[in-house]
Amino acid sequence: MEAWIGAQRLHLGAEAEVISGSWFGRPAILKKRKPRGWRHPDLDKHLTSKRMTNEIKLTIWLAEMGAPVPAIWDVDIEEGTIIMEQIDGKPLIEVLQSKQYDDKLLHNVGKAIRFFHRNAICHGDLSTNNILINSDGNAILIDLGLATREYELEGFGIDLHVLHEILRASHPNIENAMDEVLAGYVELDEEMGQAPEAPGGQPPSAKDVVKRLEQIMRRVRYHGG
Amino acid sequence: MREGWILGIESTAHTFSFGLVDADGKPRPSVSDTIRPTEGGIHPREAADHHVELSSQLLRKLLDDNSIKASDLAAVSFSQGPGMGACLRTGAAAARTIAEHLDIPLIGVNHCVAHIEIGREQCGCDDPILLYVSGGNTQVIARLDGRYRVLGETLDIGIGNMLDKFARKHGIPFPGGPVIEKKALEWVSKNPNPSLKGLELPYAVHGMDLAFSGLMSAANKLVSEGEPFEAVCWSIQEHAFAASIEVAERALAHTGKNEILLGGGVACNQRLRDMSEIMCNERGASSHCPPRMYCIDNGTMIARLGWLELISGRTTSLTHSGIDQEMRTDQTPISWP
Repeated sequence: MEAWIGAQRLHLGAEAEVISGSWFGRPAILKKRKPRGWRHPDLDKHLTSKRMTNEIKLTIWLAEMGAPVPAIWDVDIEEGTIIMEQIDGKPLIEVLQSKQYDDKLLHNVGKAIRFFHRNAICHGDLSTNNILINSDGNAILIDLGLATREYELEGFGIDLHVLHEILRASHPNIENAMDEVLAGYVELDEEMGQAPEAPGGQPPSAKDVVKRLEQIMRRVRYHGG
Repeated sequence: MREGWILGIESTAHTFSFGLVDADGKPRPSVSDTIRPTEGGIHPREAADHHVELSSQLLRKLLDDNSIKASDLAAVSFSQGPGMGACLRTGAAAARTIAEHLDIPLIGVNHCVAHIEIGREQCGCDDPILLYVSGGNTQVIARLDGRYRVLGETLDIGIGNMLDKFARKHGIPFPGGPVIEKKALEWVSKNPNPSLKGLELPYAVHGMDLAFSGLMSAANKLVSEGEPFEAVCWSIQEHAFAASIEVAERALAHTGKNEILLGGGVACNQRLRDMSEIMCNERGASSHCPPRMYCIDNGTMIARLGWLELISGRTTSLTHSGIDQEMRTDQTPISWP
């Protein structure tokens, strides 16, 4: 039996090409990072290997912490490929565009982000394409290439700022979208208590991160408010 | 409404510029002057004085160059924001005076949107992602739901500001970007296929947001540690431009659009243009860049956007003609195709 059988390209991202298929008969996706001709080869190699290693290491760490991340089944650093479990879910961007979702949706997105942050991980690329919504309405964060271990308030605040900007730009008709996300974000701490001690220390509380986000919003050049 | 020329006045920062479009919206080159401080950065007050002093002579030259009289003007548009307050006020004051004196409509427009619209006019692209890279601004902008919306931007300083500040620290007067480009080329011609080893700099991409101040500090450190200045200039470009192009590519992937439009003064840089071209070729998209005179700040783009607003029936009353230093790109409703 062939290990990987590719079926079709799902997405041509800026990071990688994502192909659906099967791995030993199980539904899988293959993520392939191609060399970028516009980037100096030294920089390109450095970024590609750093981002791949990050994605693998942090996915495994988050799985241990109980986050709903895809299982990683095969890795080829030289080829720049990762084969992982195919997660059942629809990108948030499509769910929001379909207008068919319940009012807990964005709360759940906030909770999923906070779960990462509680475990000292910044996602690094929180666009509405990188958040999947499963049939239970829960949010699963994918695409961890830009993820980092983080302990400083600023990093977590910037992580939220990226999503804030995208929600405002791509989904301007949804009122208070970010407020809903932040409500869920804070709610998770209320449910679970203080964030656990991570290897490098104690991640900041949800409330402090939200305060920092407000500062970042005021600080960026012309688009604070 | 009188048929005729639309005058555009640009004064958001260091450049004071008058430009024209005809009754069909066709652009004519601007007449501009840029303050070049002998030392330090741009002081808004000094820039404003510069603008006021040159105002009438620049306008005179524009009218003479195009063999038209003031009475041939049908409307006047000006940059209402965003920008430096003192500078914006000089352009707004000139525009109000001309509009009142000639009894023609006044149109206040958004500077960033003007960059997009002149780019679309010049390049014939339809629905691009704008990578807007200038001294004050670094933004990735897309038209979504009837507005131009900012998908990502710099979290600290503009890319052009980073280049100018780095240059200034090493004795190169404003504008530093073109000198850095020249030095980078010298490094490449002396060292074909140069390596980035030992010249690594921070690469700050956060989703579609960017940051440049860490890169600038690290570049200064490399120079102080004795790395050749040309090599550091080259490395700055390789890192900062790659990060910008990556963010532009993320915006393409996010929106499903397939055109990139470059704008702003830093878009004059050939290396940035080349990177954009390669990125677009690799993903089956197309890269567009207006001529250099329409990448930098110019009055013609203000005239062009004024014309679009005018044919959509929007003008600005005197009471609403106040400047807005923090005017947002998505404040302008886009009613034209």
